[in-house]
Amino acid sequence: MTRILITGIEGFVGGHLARHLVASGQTVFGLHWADAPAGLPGELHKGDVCDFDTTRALLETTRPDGIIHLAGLSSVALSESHQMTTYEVNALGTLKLLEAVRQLQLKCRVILISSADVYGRSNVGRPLNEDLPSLPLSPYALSKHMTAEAGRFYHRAFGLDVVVLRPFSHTGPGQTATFVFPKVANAIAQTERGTREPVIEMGDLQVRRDYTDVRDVVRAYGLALERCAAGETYNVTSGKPVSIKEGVDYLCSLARVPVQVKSSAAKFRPHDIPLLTGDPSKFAAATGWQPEIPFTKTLSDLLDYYRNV
Amino acid sequence: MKCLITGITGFAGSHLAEYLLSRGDCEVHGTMRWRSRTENITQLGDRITTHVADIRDATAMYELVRDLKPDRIYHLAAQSFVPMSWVAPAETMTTNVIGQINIFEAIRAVGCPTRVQLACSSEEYGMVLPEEAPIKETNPLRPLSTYAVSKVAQDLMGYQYHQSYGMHIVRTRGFNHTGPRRGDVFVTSNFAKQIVEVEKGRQAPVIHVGNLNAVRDFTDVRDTVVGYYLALEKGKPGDVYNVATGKGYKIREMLDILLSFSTVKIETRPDPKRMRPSDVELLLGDATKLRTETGWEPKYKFEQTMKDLLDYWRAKV
Repeated sequence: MTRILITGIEGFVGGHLARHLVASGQTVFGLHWADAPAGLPGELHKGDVCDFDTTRALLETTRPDGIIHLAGLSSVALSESHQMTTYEVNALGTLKLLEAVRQLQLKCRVILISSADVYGRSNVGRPLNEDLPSLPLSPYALSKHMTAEAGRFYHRAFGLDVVVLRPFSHTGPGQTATFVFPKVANAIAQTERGTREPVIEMGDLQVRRDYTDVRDVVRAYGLALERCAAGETYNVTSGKPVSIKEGVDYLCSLARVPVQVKSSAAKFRPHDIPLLTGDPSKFAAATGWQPEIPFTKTLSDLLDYYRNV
Repeated sequence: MKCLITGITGFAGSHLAEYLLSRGDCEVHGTMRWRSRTENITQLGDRITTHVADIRDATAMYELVRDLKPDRIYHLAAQSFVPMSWVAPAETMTTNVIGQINIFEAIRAVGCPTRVQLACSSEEYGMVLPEEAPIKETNPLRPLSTYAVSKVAQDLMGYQYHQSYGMHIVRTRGFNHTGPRRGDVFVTSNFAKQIVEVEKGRQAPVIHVGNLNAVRDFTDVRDTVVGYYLALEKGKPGDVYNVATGKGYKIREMLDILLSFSTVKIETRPDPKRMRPSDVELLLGDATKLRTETGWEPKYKFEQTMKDLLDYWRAKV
């Protein structure tokens, strides 16, 4: 594939994906709703995935062979204060994209990004594979379940070439400081600069999550364009859970000044699941993908990113 | 007095925040969208409180109004760029019209006595006949873009909610306003930025221009936001006020004023992409009503505004 459209190109994953695809010789088009950061590669178009006319016109002019649909509200916390917007952007936005592809009869692979959060209460505490039922526990998770169902429906009913990916937690340089490790990295960098107190208040540090470097994740998305089977759903994950505490401790060990992390019960999330780990074998078998960047490097790059912001 | 500015990260929003803070009697809050750029408000630091709340989300607006119960809302959040409304008409209508319904309905549901100022627009007048200038508030509205139609809808909805529910709503029709921090998609700022890029050797000494014959009434944004404040404090509930200087400049003259503050020699070149499908030739406003009823008086000379705008870009580029 040579012409790839990335929706939500201005986001954390979008920037990494655009640079990866351009470096591997693809022509990249991007749809962005918030202002795009300086230096983002690709032919950029401003618009909202909730606006069907915008999406259809963009597909008609760019005629991509592949679409990677990243545009969406990506925060569980935000989804709780903006429930309707979450459904409008994540669910309806996806439906509008698929419907535009269908109407224009584009020969085009569509990669939909669902989320490990859709598993929710499913098979708690054990590795999750793609055949388990979805039991979402937040508006965000429900909206990402709807994203995936929309894709599977358009494949089943209209034969669209849709692949659904379920990434587990991922982080790396550029992620906003509302997420856990960027928050700690940012706090450490600020403490080093002397602009904040050395005490960092966190939620539950004992929960364990698979973590993958964002640069490995975007490489997986690129492979999915070529190697996954239409209509199928795949976990994208390292399969190696770490506790939040391990990651935070490692970040603190890199700090140039003493910092102190406190776990505060007031910051615990109501539905937090103690362990989220995925079975990566289906995606590995289809694409040969394996994560390459060790988590310690992800964290040190993340800290360097916040030192240089 | 607890004040909430919707769209506080925007150009006018950030200036209004500065003005309210300078008064000393206002607690300033603002809404912003998730992932909004905050460069216009970083200088305000923790003197303001921001809330992530998209006006298109009814629940988010309700919860914000319920928790904050502001005394004043200055409703500035909008899809405010006319050319964007050519490519995204439905989105423009949703954000501007449905967004305002969400705010009004939130106030009604909470039942707080909040006063609301609506930042409507001179674009609502649209096609103006030569003998109608300078335009009074009683002029017919003949909108020429989806943006303008969305502002007519906001404007009349303000009237209707005042009549139907007795809400204290004041509409302002701002004519063109500019000044430091103006986005570079707007003509004054676009030209100023291009001049600075030439000064810094980053652009060939050519400025790309659209329709240079259009006449616009430019107010300094720092005067415009005082107009918003006074209209809401001293204007009549339900009424509408132009915010304008009454003095028109051709875009060509505006460019000449900008160039007079620069030493570089620059050629101007027409660019068909900068022409609009239907453009308003003359927009000159009569703000007598705002002046007499509220005592508003613009303080900035146009030359000063243009110089400050250039200096803003010189510091930024």
